[in-house]
Amino acid sequence: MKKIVSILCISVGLSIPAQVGIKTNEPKSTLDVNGDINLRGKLSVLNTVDNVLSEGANDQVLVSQGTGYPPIWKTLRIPEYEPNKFYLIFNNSFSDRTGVTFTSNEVSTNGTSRSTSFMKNAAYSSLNRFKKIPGLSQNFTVYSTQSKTYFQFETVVQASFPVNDNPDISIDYACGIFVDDQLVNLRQRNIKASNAASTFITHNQIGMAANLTKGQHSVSVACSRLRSFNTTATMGIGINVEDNINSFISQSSLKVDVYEVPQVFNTILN
Amino acid sequence: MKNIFFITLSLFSMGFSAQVGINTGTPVNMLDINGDLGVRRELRTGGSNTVKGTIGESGTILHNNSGLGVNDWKSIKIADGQGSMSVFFMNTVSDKTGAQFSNGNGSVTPYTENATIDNNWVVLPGTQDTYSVTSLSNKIFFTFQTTVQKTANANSSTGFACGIFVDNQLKAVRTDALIGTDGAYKIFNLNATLSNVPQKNNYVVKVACTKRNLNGGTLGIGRVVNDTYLNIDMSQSVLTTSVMQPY
Repeated sequence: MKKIVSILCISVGLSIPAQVGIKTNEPKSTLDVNGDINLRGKLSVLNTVDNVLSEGANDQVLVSQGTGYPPIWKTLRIPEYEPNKFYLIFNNSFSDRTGVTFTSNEVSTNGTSRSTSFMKNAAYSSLNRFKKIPGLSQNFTVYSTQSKTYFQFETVVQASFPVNDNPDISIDYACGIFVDDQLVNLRQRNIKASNAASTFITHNQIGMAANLTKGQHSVSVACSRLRSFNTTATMGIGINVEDNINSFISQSSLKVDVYEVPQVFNTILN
Repeated sequence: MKNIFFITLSLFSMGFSAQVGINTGTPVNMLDINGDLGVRRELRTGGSNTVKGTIGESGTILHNNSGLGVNDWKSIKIADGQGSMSVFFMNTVSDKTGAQFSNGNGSVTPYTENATIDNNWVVLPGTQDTYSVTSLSNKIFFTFQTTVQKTANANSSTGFACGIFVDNQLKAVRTDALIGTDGAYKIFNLNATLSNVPQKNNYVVKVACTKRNLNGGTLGIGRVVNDTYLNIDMSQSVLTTSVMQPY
């Protein structure tokens, strides 16, 4: 008790050596408070990297650094959600080197009824001779009833054409992006023989679907040969059919982003 | 008891009027503990001579708001579904220097994955960027776009390829050909996905291009070779790199 009295007597630059217990005579840390403590100012912790006491930058939280180190103020790597705004919730990206090929006999009957066959939400099963690119059939999950799903697809299309002739040698084809085997986006294009044989082109496609139901969905990309002009050549989509290119060059890529207005929130703690 | 102090707040309502140091003679805060702090009950923030500080609602996190004089307790939530694959890094770089080719045809042999860059390839200098991968599970997505233009070569086609090199190894490539008269141009796109690459700091990515059959004439990639139709803002190249990882 003598020492406590002496503490009270010193008013400036008070120093207490060793361990201090409050309401305990067996302190287990430098200051051991057997009860609650009240902090009317800010908590500063030593940043051991630059040896400076830090009360943290704005919006930082206190994070443990394990035994032997002081906790540290850190910024959380998650967004502050504002109401009615879209946030990127799901994103993933897929690639495929298998692709699909079509002989001259594998021409879709949809080629003669394109404007009526290729309607939004057309069932994959209702379309004729559409082949799915294997590695791009993937699942994704939607967590909100208010969402936009964005697809970005790229591939290489090649036909085993000779050098072009008169009349032109070409093939009409189409690629569709399907969600739950329903068509959300389709682009058709023509690959025409050039003055070099074994022509190939890069095919780009961007599609979107709004407000899919909550839960898991499947996405797939399926392509079809719609019509041949003066040719019996084989066509490959996402795969080479001649060896002037290879499957590394002709590979396909599909990026899927789901933007949502979040409706359900979870704790960030375990 | 030699080195241990025993302070009983219930017996004495002690009020120190100046800074207190524990294990330090030169305290710099109101209470400066040169060591660890054990708290056996609530940690309260704020409060006054008449009101106790707040302990925060269960689940809230000790937080610093630079606009307040005291620490507060914050409820931090994450949207359902966030974190399956999240963008950990995204950057876009652009280049207006480009690459120019002439003087004979280049090789038309197909390119192989992980081929080391050699002097047949010309790097678009502004497309160089670095990214780091910290998780075993990851996807790296590249989007590259540029404009290519040619000069007259008797209307023959002009072939070229552009590839994405990571640490000087070829990771994705597309070849294309430009057809038309002097000044003809087109847009070239390359989108590619890499999966589960090894964890590493500072991967270096860059785009490099090479000529194939030029059939005479000059080819510019991300570069103007006939300024009747293009300028350097229109012909510039853009590379976006996204690193996606689960939390």
